[in-house]
Amino acid sequence: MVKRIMGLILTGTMIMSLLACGKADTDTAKTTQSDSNSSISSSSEDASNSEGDVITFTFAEHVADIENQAPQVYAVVQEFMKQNPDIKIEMTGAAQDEHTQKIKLASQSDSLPDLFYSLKGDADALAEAGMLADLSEDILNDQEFVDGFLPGMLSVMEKDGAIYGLPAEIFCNGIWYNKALFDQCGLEIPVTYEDLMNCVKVFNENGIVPMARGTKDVWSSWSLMTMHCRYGFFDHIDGILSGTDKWLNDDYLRFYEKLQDMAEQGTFPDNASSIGYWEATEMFLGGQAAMFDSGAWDTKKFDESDLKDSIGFWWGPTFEDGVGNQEISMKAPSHPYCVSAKTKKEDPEKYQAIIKFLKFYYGPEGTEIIAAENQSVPVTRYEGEIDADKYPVFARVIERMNDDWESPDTCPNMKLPGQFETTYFESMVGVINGIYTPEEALQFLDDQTEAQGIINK
Amino acid sequence: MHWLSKKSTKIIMIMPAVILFTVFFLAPIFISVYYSFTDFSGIGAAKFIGFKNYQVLLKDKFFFIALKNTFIILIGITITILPLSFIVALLLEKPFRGSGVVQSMIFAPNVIAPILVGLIWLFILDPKMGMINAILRSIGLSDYQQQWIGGKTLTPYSVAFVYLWQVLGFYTTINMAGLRSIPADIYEAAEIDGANYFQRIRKITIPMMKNTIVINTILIITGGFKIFETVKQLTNGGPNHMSDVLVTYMYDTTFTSSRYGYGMAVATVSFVLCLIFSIIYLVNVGKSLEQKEG
Repeated sequence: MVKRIMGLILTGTMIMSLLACGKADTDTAKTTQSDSNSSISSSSEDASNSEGDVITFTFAEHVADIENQAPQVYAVVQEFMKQNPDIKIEMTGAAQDEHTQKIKLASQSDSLPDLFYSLKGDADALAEAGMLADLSEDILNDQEFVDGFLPGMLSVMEKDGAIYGLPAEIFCNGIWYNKALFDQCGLEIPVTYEDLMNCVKVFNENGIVPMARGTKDVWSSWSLMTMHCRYGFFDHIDGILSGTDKWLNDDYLRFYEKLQDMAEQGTFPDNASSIGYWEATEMFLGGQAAMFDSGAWDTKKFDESDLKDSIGFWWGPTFEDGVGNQEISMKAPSHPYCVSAKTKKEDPEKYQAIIKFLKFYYGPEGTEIIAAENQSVPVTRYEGEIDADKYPVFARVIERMNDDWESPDTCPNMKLPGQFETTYFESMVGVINGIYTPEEALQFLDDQTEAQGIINK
Repeated sequence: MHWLSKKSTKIIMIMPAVILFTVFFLAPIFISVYYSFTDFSGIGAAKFIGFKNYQVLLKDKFFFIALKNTFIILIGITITILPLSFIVALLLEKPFRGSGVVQSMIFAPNVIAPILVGLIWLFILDPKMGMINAILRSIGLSDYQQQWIGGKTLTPYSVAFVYLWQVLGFYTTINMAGLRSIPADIYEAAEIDGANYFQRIRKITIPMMKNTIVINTILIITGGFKIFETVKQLTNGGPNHMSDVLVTYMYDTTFTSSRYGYGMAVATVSFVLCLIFSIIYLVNVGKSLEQKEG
């Protein structure tokens, strides 16, 4: 009898412990969701609609430490909440890859955050699946707001007259340079590819890494995409995606041959394949590398570094055998911020709060915070002054942004289906790492185009 | 019949474990197999495409590179961990002064998170900033510097070595438990009969440790197929998938390239291969044990 009772008690304890684990997990998830740098939270129950008169919405970013890695976004959010105490924004962040996966998982359970960063390819798929809110009515009826955007910025998520997102930032891709190292070696900042190769030769002779690059992170190929534009990327891509053209064409082949030449001449560090973007950044900031492939998003970091008086920015080399206009810059819209369709449909009050925030973010006040206070290039017009003494790097970037070099409407990777972006980057990195010849890299792209079924996708 | 011995009671007792196992182990396998027959980007609905993913897989150069790397690592760790962990267990079997500390130090790498193991060895093996090449340069042996990671050939061997370093303590501990289960009087009898140390190891220890060796081998095979964090941290599978193993290639295909359907095809094939190897090994060991008993 006693043993039977003991057995029942043990069984009951075991079952209760399983139930308790379930409740503990829920509690942990709720606690975690209220912290930053944590998981995506649902737009409905957990981020509660309103506590009293306060409307709360979730805003998911693609960096793990928003305050330090996206300070301009953080600052705008803080100021907006200060001016609108009836609206609370719960920011959550995760590193790019993790964030992308979480958005996809959230889409499967119809629990997307209210406002979130998304890769363009994924955003297109979400829009097709009806999961993104159409913002056009609230955006386009405010002409002053529309006019505040730089040309082409609103087109990033425009589909059949609807606007499903606004650009998170500008793709302002280029090559940073450390002028002090150029001066040390008696070199001018290069203009043409031949100038660049001459600099590479001299830097190698002096034990300086010509251009920091970490191919472990294949996506850190920004200036390479701008160089590809100088070899007619946009002349062929539509044909490739519709099946009437091939990646292996003469124009692209000449560009990939240049990549091979750059690698063979020692443009990149010996250990490029075992370091990533962050290590390459440190290599540049540590004064070991003369140049660094990146974009304007690093401006604030560089303005806070010891090298700020030496760091400059350029659009990359022109090519004698290039295609068309060589004075091509990159001032195109980046991946978008999107709003969940479920939020718009089920909680109009919350949706209007998000619209109010977006109008603040992209309006004059938000632009001022982004540009003047955080040295980040805004997607909207900024007429204010820049303190060139205090922020010399930012001043140089703005100078480049205001030059007359043409920019394509979009960055090459944004033209590709989301799943093919990595394949495109891998083809370039493969040539740099010596895995592919230029022909093999382009043939790889043609093979993958067929294997992944991306034609007309 | 005591109520605890009743079949219904036993079923009730093991039901929670069965449910958890079904939900978290079995169900995901079937779900993965389902998705392997679809074209799915992670957003929207999955589109059924039949065997197309498997047709693509048969022509996928990167899949076969990942498979080759996995086998290199598997063979490397099997032929090193098994004898090495056995030898270390033999050395530690008899307590000596400081043997507790030595055991802890040998086991210590096993408690470090695999992602940190990868990070530690990155700073040792990196061709430019790594410790090994730095030492070679400093002692005038620059010509012997190698691209331990990040190159086309040596990475799988480096990964096998790192994995060996990480798990040696674990398998040594299992071997030590096996050694301690052998009755001492068998050794005494053998010693009386004139058997020397190596004869006792060959004729008594190894045969009586057969089950332990089988368990270790199965664990090594399954562990080898699951190596992920080390490769991810050391090389991220690069350059260009040259150092990918099956799991990292599956992860990259599924989550980085958003080809969920194709990634699940890779996962399904990896699972089947692992199952086949384990079954072949178990059947062969079972047959040889039967023959010996017969």
